[in-house]
Amino acid sequence: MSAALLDQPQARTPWHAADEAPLLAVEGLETRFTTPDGTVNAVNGINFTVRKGETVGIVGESGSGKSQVLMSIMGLLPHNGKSTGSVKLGGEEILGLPRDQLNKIRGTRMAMIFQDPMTALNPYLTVGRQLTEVLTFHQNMTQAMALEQAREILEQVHIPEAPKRLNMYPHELSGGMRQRVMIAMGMLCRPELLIADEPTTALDVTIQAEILDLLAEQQAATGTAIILVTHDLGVVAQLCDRVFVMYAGRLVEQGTVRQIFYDPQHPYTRALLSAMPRLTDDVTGDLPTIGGQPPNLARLPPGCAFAERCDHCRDACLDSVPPLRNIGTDRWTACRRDAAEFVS
Amino acid sequence: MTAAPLAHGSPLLSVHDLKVHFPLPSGLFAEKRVVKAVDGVSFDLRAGETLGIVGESGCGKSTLGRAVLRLIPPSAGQVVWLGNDLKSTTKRDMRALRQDMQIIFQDPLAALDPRMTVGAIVAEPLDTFEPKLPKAQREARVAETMQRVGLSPALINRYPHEFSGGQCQRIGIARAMILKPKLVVCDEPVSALDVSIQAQIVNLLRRLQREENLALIFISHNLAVVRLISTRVMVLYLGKVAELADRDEIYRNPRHPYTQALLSAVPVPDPDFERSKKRISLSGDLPSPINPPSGCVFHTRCPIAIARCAAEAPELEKAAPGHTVSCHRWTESIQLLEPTVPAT
Repeated sequence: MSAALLDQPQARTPWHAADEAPLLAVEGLETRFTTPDGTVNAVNGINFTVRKGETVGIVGESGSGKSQVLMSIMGLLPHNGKSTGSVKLGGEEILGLPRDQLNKIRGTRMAMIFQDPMTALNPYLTVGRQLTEVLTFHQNMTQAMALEQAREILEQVHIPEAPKRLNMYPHELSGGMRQRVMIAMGMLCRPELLIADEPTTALDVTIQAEILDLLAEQQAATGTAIILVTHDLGVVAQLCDRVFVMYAGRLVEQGTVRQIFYDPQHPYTRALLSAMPRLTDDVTGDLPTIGGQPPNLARLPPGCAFAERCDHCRDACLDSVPPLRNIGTDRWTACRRDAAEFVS
Repeated sequence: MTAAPLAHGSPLLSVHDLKVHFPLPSGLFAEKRVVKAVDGVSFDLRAGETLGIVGESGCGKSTLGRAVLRLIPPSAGQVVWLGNDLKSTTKRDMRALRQDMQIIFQDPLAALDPRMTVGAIVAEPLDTFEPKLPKAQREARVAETMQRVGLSPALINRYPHEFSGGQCQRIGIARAMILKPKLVVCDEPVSALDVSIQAQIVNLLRRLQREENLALIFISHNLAVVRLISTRVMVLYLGKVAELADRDEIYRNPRHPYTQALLSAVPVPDPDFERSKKRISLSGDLPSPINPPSGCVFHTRCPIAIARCAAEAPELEKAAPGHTVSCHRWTESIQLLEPTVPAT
C-alpha cells in the first residue's frame, strides 16, 4: 500500500514556488507498533511538506495517528515502534538517523513542545538548569553565558521576575507558566521547525489564548515554522495557515485554513466541524454527532477507514482505500465523492 | 431548551452560603491558614433543570459539586434537599438519600474498577441499596439501563479496558442512572472525550434528563459545552460566585468582566472571526486561594478594576430577574465584548 501511495502525484506536485525547497518534506511515512495484540498501523503512508515560517495544523481525533507523525519525525518512538518512508529536513534525510546524530538536530534545528509540561519538565532540576543544559550542550556556552541567555528568553515569553524563576523547580510554577518555560526551551536555539503537540490542551481557555499568542509572537520574531497538532478546531482557526486532517493514520484532507473551514470537502472534516460546539449554535434538538467509533488500528478495513461512520458511503468505498485526489492548488481530499454530492 | 419544563414549587436542592475551607498544616504558633475552596455559594436547583458551573482550574467547581453531595463535608452553610437540611441528617439517613444523588466523573476509565465486568459495575449500586432484589430482576435492570445509555447488553461480561473513552463514560452514566436518581452531579463528564464523542454524551444526558425529569449539576471549563445543556449558568472565581443567570441571559448579556473574558477566550472554529475578534486578556494566573486578593478577588486580573475593587468586596447584586452579578462596576454596563456571535 505504501508503494501505491508513493506513486500518487502528491509528493511530486510542486505546491509552492519551485525556487524554494520545503523546510520539511514527509514522504510515504508509515509507523507501525508491534504489540501483543498484533501490529498497530498508527501512520499509514503520509505525504506532506512544511514551508519555512508557516504554521500547519494537524487535526484529528485521539488515535488518528497525529501525535505519532510528530514522534516519528522527531525520532522519539518507543522501542516497539518503527517508521519507514522519508522525512527530510532542509533536504537532508533524518528518518532513521542514529541517536547521536539526531541529538545534534533536535533542540537546535527542530524542537518539540509537549502537551503536559509537568511531565515533560524534569521535576528534579531547576528551570534554569533545564534551560541552560540545551545551550551548554549544543552551543558550548559557559554556564554564566547560558544563564544570561536563559533569563533573556524567559523575559521574551513574558515570565515575570525571570531571574527568580530560574532557581525554581517546575512544581513551583503554574500550568501556564510551565508551558511558557516549555516554549522558551523550544525556542532557545531558534529552531527552524517547532513541533507542538497539543500545547494548550491541559490549560484553561484564558491561559490558552495567551500561549497561542505567544507562539504566534515567537514565530513572527524568529521565522520558525510550526507544526501544531490539536483536536481543537478553534485553536487551528486562530493560528494555522494550512490544515491537514487525519483519520486512522491517513491524511484525508488538506487545504488552507479558510478552505478547510469554509469549504470542507471530506465528509469526516464536515462532520468534525459540525460536531464542534459553538457559542452560537441552536441548542434545541439533538446536537450533530459522528456516530460509531474510530476503527481499530490493528484491524483496518480494506476500504475507506471512515466508511462505517459515513453517511455518504457507497460500495466502492468499501473495496479499496480512496487515494488523495488533487482538487485544486495545494488542495487534496481522500473521498471519491465530490462535495456537490453532499448537498442534500 | 429541550429539557422538561421547569417544575414549579419548591426546589429539589437549595444551597445557602456554602463554604468549604480546607485547613493547611501550620506550625505550633503560626496563624492557622485555610484554603477557601468554596466561599459562600448559594443556588437553587429544581427537577428537570441543569445548573452549569464554569470557571478555571482551581476555582472550586469540583469541590462545590462534591460538597453538595456531602462527599466533602462543608465547613459552613446549608444544603437543603427536598426541604431537609442535610447537616442534621444522620449517617444512616444520608446513606439512603444517596440513592437519589449520583455523580459522574471526568476520567471515564479511571472511574471504573478494572477488575470488575461492566455488568458488575453497573449493578453495584443495586447490591448496596436493593440487596434483596432477585437475580433475574437485577439482571433485567442492568440490561435495561445499559440499553438506555446506548450500550448493548451483550457487552455485559466485558471489562472496562475493552471499551473506548466514550463507551466508558456511558458505563459511568449507567451506574449513576440505575437507581433512578433525582440529581446527578456531572464533573467534567466530556472533557476527556473527542468532540465527536462529546456531542453523543451531551445528547445522552439531555435525553435522560428529559425522560426522568432529572436535575443535573454540570461542571465544565468549556463554556460552549455548558451552553448546550444548562438551564442556568454559574461562573465561579476563587470559590466565589462571579455571576449567575439563566443560560441565554448570561451568554447574551454577560455582566461580569470575568464572564466576558472567559467568553472571549473560547476559540471559535471560524478563522476570519477568530482572527478579527476582540479578546479580553486577563493578566497573569489565577491567584492562590490560600492568600486571596483583598476586596474583589478578581481585581488583580480585572481589566476595569478601580481603587474601590481592591478595598471592598462586592456583594452579589441583582442585575435582572434571575441574574446576579458580583462586581462594583456592573451598572456602568461596560461591555468589553463585541458580540460573540460571528456573522453567519
